[in-house]
Amino acid sequence: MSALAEAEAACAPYGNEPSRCGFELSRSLLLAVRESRAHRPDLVLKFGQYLLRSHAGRLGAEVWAMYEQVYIALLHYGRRPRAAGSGAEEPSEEMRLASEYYSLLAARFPDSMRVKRLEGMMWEAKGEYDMAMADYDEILEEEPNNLAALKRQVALLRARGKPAEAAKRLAAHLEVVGSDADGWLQLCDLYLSQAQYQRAKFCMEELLLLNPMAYIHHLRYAEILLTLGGIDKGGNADLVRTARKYFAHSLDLKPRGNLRALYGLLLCCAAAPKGQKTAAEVEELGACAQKKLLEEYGEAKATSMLDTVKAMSTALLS
Amino acid sequence: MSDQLSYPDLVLDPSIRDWVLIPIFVIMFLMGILRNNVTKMMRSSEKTKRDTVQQNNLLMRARRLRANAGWVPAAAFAARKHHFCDKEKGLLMQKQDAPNPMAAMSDPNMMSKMMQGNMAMMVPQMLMMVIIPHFFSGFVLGKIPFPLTPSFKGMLQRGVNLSTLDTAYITSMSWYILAMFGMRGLYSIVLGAGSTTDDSALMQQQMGMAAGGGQPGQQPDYNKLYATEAENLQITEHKFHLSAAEEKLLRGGKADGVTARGKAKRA
Repeated sequence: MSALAEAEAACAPYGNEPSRCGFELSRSLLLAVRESRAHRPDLVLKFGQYLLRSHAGRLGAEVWAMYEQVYIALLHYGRRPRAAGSGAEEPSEEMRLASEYYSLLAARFPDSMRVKRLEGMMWEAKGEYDMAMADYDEILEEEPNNLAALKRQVALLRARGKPAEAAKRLAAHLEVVGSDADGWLQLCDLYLSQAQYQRAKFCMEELLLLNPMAYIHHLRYAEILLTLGGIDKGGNADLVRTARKYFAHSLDLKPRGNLRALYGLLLCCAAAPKGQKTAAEVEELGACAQKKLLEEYGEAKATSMLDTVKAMSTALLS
Repeated sequence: MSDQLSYPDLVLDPSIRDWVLIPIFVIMFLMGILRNNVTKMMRSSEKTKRDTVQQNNLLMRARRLRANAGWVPAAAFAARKHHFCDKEKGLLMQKQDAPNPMAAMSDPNMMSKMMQGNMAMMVPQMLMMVIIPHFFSGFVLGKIPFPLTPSFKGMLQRGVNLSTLDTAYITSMSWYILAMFGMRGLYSIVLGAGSTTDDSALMQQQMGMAAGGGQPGQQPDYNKLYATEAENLQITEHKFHLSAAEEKLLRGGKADGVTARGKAKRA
């Protein structure tokens, strides 16, 4: 059980009401959110605002981290799409409070790059993407290794529909810091969204090298290979065979509940060229995958699905 | 016998304990804490250079490729090997700037940083060296419970030059030095591990520098590291781990076994 789940369970008897949970429980809950880097703006907003309103003095130095945490949660709720906010309407309650917090933080840490990044996020939430971009650029000029700002830029570029630019920046970053698994994953996703399968394949290979024990990396890699070797790309038996191996290995690493790999295996068997001497092996593998798939559905008591899956897999293999 | 007679036990005034022994200890302790805080304040956040990060990461990546080569297809491995070890364009074959041992010295930033660090250590030390003898010299503070040869006189009886005093007696100056080096454990309890008041570490560092055993903070020669890594990568043979993945799944693989047994139990 994670620290966050524990803290949430501790708050549950009080009806998740911050004032009834009290100072200690609320604080430990928010600390758990911060440390697990969970995305829980709902919790942060409720408990953080209570803490900042009623117990700001008791937090000591932690109060600044709390301001930052609540600030980001406020931005999450206060943000609006650019089209809606033409500048004429009043800023929402959340944004008003957020700018109040921001001025507190900026007054306390005038030269901090971290606060500057928060300002950039404020611009983002307001839909002023150019201002946000300029802020992040300034940070990167000052500290070329500021990962948080760099990743925000990539996310921003992606959100603005400039995947090429985002990929370029991310690739430049990964050239320097090759051990950033999240970065590779993001880049892979970017390439996949642009149907650049060869490049996505390269990213996935890096991830495999980073952590060869993760079943999901094997699975994703297999899917990319299968896509590359699929019929619509002209068909490449070698790629399909390699994909099959990766699907099989992914199943080896995670035997239960790995339906994605089972379906992948079925598709591989269906895509294999017919009438060769390896046909028997393919057939056996397909039958095995089908059997396991039906077992999984049987155990989940999904009887309504059972017939559909059976018919579908039989049709695929025939 | 005559020895015993000629050295009767000294009777020490209890106020020596209250006004010399304990104050020296307290002063030393507080000074240590003060020094720790001053060093902490002066230590500027060190910016890591982008080049160093890149070089280290490149090495790590090459090492990773070597260790986990079997998990990617042969073509992928070959492409990466080429990328790293190609004679002309290989990343590991690029000439790196050879580290200049004098570069650290000529860098004014580095110099002032070193000075600051040393000043934080030296100034209190010098201050104490003046204060302690001025106020507390000339006291005999205690006696160690075992006899020692006269050659220890210089160490244990600093500040009191009495040729007839038994070597087992300790003077205030010696107590000061003892306290200076003996409080490391106490600091690490009070200030937490990794505090900067560690005199012995500083001494060791200086000794190491004198012996030419590599300066702290001096960068290693990446040309050599790269060459070694490139060589290692060249001789790495690619052995695909997944070549038998399907057989493992079909026959006697763990996945199959578990399901079959689970089935049998339920039936």
